[in-house]
Amino acid sequence: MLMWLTGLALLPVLAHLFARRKPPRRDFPDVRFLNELARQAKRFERPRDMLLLAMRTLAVLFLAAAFALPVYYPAGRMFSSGGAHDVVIIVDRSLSMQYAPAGVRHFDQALARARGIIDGLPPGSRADLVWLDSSPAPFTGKLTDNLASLRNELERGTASYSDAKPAAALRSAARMLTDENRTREIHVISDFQATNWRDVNVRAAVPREINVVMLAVDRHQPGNVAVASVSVSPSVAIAGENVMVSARVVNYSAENRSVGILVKTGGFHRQDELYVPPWGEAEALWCVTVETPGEQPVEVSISRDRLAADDARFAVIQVRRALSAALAGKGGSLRFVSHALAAMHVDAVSLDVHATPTMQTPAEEAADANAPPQPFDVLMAAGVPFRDVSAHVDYQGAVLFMDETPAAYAADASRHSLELPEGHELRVGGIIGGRKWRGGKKAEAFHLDGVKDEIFDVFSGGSAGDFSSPAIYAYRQIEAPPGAKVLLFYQDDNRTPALMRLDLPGGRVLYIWNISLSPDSSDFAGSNVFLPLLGEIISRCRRPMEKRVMPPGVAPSFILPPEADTSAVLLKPPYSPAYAPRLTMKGGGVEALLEPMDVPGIYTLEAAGRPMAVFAVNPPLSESDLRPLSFDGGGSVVLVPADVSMSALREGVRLWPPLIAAALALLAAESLAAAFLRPRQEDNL
Amino acid sequence: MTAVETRTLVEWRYLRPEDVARLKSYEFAPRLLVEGYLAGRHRSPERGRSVEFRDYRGYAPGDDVRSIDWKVLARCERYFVRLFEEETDVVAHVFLDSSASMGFGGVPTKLEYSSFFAAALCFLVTRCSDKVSLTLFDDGIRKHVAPGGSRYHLTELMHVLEHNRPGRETRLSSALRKMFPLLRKKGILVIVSDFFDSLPDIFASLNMYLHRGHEVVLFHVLAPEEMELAGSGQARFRDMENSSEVEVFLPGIKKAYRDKITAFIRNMRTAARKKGIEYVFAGTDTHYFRLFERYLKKRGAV
Repeated sequence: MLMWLTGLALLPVLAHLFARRKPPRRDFPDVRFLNELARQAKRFERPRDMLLLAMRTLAVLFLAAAFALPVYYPAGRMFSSGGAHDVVIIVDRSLSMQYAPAGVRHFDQALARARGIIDGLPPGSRADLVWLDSSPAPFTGKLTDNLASLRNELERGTASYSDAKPAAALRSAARMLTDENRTREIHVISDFQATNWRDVNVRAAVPREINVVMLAVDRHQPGNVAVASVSVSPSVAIAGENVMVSARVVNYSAENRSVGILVKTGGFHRQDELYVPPWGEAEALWCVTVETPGEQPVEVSISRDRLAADDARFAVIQVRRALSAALAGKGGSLRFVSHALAAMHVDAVSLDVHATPTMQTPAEEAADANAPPQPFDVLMAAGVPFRDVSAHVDYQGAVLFMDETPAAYAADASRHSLELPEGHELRVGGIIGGRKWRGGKKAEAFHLDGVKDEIFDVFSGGSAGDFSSPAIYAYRQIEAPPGAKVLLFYQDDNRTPALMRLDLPGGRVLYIWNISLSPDSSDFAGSNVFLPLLGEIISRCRRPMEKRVMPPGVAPSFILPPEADTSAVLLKPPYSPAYAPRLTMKGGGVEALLEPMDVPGIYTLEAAGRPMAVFAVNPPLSESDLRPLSFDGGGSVVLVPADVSMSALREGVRLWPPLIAAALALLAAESLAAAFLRPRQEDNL
Repeated sequence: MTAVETRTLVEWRYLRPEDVARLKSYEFAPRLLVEGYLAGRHRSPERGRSVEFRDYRGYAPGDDVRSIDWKVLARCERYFVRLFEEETDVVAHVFLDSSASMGFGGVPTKLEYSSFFAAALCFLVTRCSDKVSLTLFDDGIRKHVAPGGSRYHLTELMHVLEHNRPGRETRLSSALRKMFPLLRKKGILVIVSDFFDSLPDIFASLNMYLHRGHEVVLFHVLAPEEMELAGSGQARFRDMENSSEVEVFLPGIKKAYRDKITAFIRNMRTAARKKGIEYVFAGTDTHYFRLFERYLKKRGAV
């Protein structure tokens, strides 16, 4: 066949060559000018001749090919039109399918294609449907010949706001196609977002015997701008404190974008203009003062584009009246600390160290074992066995003050060690220096070289105090336990740590404070750096709020406080009516079981009209980048463009009409070119 | 005496009786004074014997005592010799291009046209008792007839012209260099050609003649068919001089060719003007009498 076609292709070449008439010869006195002009003209004539030759050759080739009555199968010959099929249709309904480039959502295009597939199934075929989202699941779970039910499901289908898990959907579909005696096919209708499909190995999820057709929705180059993140710092704020709200806007397009960005939280509303570079991002930052304790939603939105679902993002600020601290132990240090906490409006509770389990009777210990530990932001301990105290206090951060020779340490002086939580051990030595009235000599100033920590940020300007100013007369010699970070140290030969931080499991942190606050040993408590340093430490010991920002599809629960009126509990979702969640008893309290939160937005749980909790649901960031994957599954996996119909897929596209039309068009063009191309070029010379 | 020589002048092909009658009203007058051995109608820069007084100069031993002006001697007692203008004849050297390219054209061909013109020119010169030489050249000197002014000489020139045929390539510069030693006496150099040679070479060769004091006149003969390409479609042209061929698409190059040939003529005219050379363009569709009128009118001789 190829030989014949090659022979046919030679025909126009020969015709082209032999069609050239031998022009008449004329005698001319001098051809030097003609020679020059001929050389110039050849630069134009050669391409023109080649063009004519190409057009003639193509025309003949097209005509010859048309006689073979060719049919093009976009997905290859694996889709035979005859015989019953087992088909599973996977329809992507992830958030990105809500993209509507020309007013029609990709999801609606996908539904139409799915209906087309069902309508085109040969009689006797069986099918099922799998919605592709974050938790793909089949519609019926087994293949059915009731295709009408699938059509009804497609009618009822809605787009989700979650991301897609293509591999899970493919595996789910493959599990249904077990009958090896039938033609098995999986049709995936998706936008094939690169972020979702990049790591998908189709052949690992689907056996080779099953044909997989990737039916792409309109895959033109999309552009999208999204709010990529909203963060608040600190997320747990104290009433009256300034909170920084920052939003990151990403431009997933090749053009510069200018977007209006709006932030709303409490009574704070502000709109700004943001310029986002192509394939880049920009950040907006606002300072918000929160006044009222409670949970305050934050909404950051940009002007709507063709994918509106990711144009807003949400966060929650938990505003508390004050931080809470537990004071355990005794001694001069805690006295100064309690005064400092009062000055900083921290709710301080002194724990009775004699009521700690080690000092309780067995009956009392058993009674307290079931009681939940009291939550505090920070635990301040001095002169008590820290491990015992901390085991019964729910805290986020702790400060262990190494006071001068308390009785508890004296009892442990033989080992010169101090047990810390989770098996950490602090080696403790003797006292360096002497008492002030005994002529103690001022120790060297604190040294901060090489120490970088965020708690010192406040001192960088110099207005919050200077660490060289306080006079230290005596301090305890200690060694930093493994894993501890020394934040401050004395300038002695051993570089004795003055302040250390030890990160504990569960995100908790322990500060070991080896600076005496007693006036006999130092005047640090009276210096201008004491209060800022203690404040910075405490502010980093805030208890984190419960996870209130979540992706779509999560069904959270919430334990109502004892004082809540459980008779009128309502959840107010965005864009839909409020509903009463299911309530159950848990641990002596009432727990509200909320339904999955699918739509991004702010959900407010109220009890008798009083807000109990605020939840923020954000769209998955992976859905915002709409760039499709250049998909090549290989083998029996075929990517079908959006403009190819299902009938074309099965019956093929007849190619001879367009081939004949193309040949005729080429012949007409060749005639026109031969007639008009030459005279037109006269002026070019 | 041969049969050719016995024919009367009016029987020659390139000098017809009606043309002779018409040429009698023209006079071929050189612009410059030329030297000559024979006293004639043309003034010569050589002072000699004639009736036209020009100047005095002091007597020097050896001068003819007959030339002393005695009246001046009587008045101022000093010897002065009278000087007179001397009249001499004109020698016109006609160079006729007889290369193959001159055979181009309809009726007449460029060579025929040029021959008509040369014949008339020779007639005019000899009619004024001046002398004329004729040189036929292509890539060399094909024929040279030494200067002469007699009727017999004119007959010989007509005979040469009548038997002239287009030859080989044009090498005007070469012909000029070869002829230079033979044309020692300055005169008028009339070159009739299509000048399809290297222009720098031609004008370099003419420098020698200009330096010797020759007056040079170029008659550029071209046929209308080579000024404007006729026909349409593809065409093959064969060079009449070297037989090389070129195939062109006529509609595509007509305008460009016209521009080139016009530029060629313009370059010729410009180069001639810079050298003080007379240039006359002669299309074969123009009667050669018009050339005479145009040329002689410019010289104020008509």
